[in-house]
Amino acid sequence: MSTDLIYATTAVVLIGLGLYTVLIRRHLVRKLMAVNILGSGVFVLFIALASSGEGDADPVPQAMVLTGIVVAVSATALGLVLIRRIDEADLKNAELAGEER
Amino acid sequence: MSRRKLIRVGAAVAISVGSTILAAAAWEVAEMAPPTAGELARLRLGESGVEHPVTAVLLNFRAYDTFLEILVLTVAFWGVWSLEGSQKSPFFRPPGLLLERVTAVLVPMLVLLAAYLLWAGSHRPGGEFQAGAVLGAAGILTLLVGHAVPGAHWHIRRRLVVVAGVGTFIVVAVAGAILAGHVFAYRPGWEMASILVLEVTTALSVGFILTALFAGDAEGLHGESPPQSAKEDECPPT
Repeated sequence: MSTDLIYATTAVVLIGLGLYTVLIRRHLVRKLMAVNILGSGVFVLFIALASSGEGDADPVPQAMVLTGIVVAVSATALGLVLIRRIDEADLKNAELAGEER
Repeated sequence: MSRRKLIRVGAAVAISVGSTILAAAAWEVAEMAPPTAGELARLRLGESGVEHPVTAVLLNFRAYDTFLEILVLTVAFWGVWSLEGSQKSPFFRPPGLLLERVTAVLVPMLVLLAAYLLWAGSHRPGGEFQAGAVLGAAGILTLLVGHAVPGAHWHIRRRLVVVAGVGTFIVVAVAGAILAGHVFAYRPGWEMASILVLEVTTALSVGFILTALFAGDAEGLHGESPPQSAKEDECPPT
C-alpha cells in the first residue's frame, strides 16, 4: 500500500503542478513544459494503477503509456516549432509597429 | 490581496483538491473493476506470436492503436517540416577531438543497442519504440556534433523511411483483411513474421522521424555547413 501511496502522491503532485502552470502562466514554452509534466503525472498514475493489483503488471496500460509517450514527444516537437514561429511573428509585428510610429 | 493573486491562489487550491480527488477516484475504480483487457491479453499470449505481453498488446491485440500512433508521429513530422525556414541554431561550435571520437564510437554502439532492443521486444521489455528512440538519440547526437545524418541527401530514401512505418501497417492490415478475415488479424503461423516486419520498419521510421523533428527541416539534417554564407536572409517585401 505504501508504494502505491508514493506513486499516487507523485502523480497528483505532477498533475497539479502541470495544470496550474498551464492555466496561470503566460509564457508559451512554460505552458508546453507544463503540459509535458501533466502528461508525465498521468503516465505515472496509469503505470502505478497497472501494477497495483496482484501478480504481473497489466500489459495494456503499459502499452498505452508507451504510445502516449511517443505522441507526447511528437506533439511537443510540433508545439516548439509553432512557438518559435509565433515568436518570430511577434518580433516582426513589433518591428513593423516601431516603423509606423 | 490583488485580484490576480486571488485567482492564482484559488486556482492552486482548486487544482490540488481536484487532482487529489481525481487520483483517489481512479484508484477506487481500478481496485473495484476486474482487470479485463490485460487479463485477456495475458491469457491469450500464446496466440500472439511473441512472448512479451506488452509487445503482444502493441503489435497484435491493439495494433490499431499503434498504427494511429505512428501516424501521429508522421503527421507531426510533416507539420514541423512544413513550418521550416526559421533561423538555424546560431551557436554552433565545432566539436573537440574528444567529443568527435567518443561520438564515433558511441553511434555504432547505439545502432547495435537498437537492434538488440528490437529483438529483445519479443520476449522481454524492449521493442520498436525503444529501438526507435535509441536510433533517434544516435541521429541527434550526430547532428549535435555537426555531421550529416547518413543518407539524408537522398530524397527518395528519406521519404521512404518516413512512410515505412505507416505503410507497413497499412499493408499488414490489408493483408490481414484479405487472408485472415478482418483488419489487423494475422494469418495463423504468420504472427511472428508480421510482427517482426512491423517492428523493424516502425523502429526505422520512429528513429528517423525523431531525428528529423530535432533537425527541423531538410537542411538541418545535413549537419553544420561550415560558414553560413546566406545567414542574413533578405526580408520578403511586405
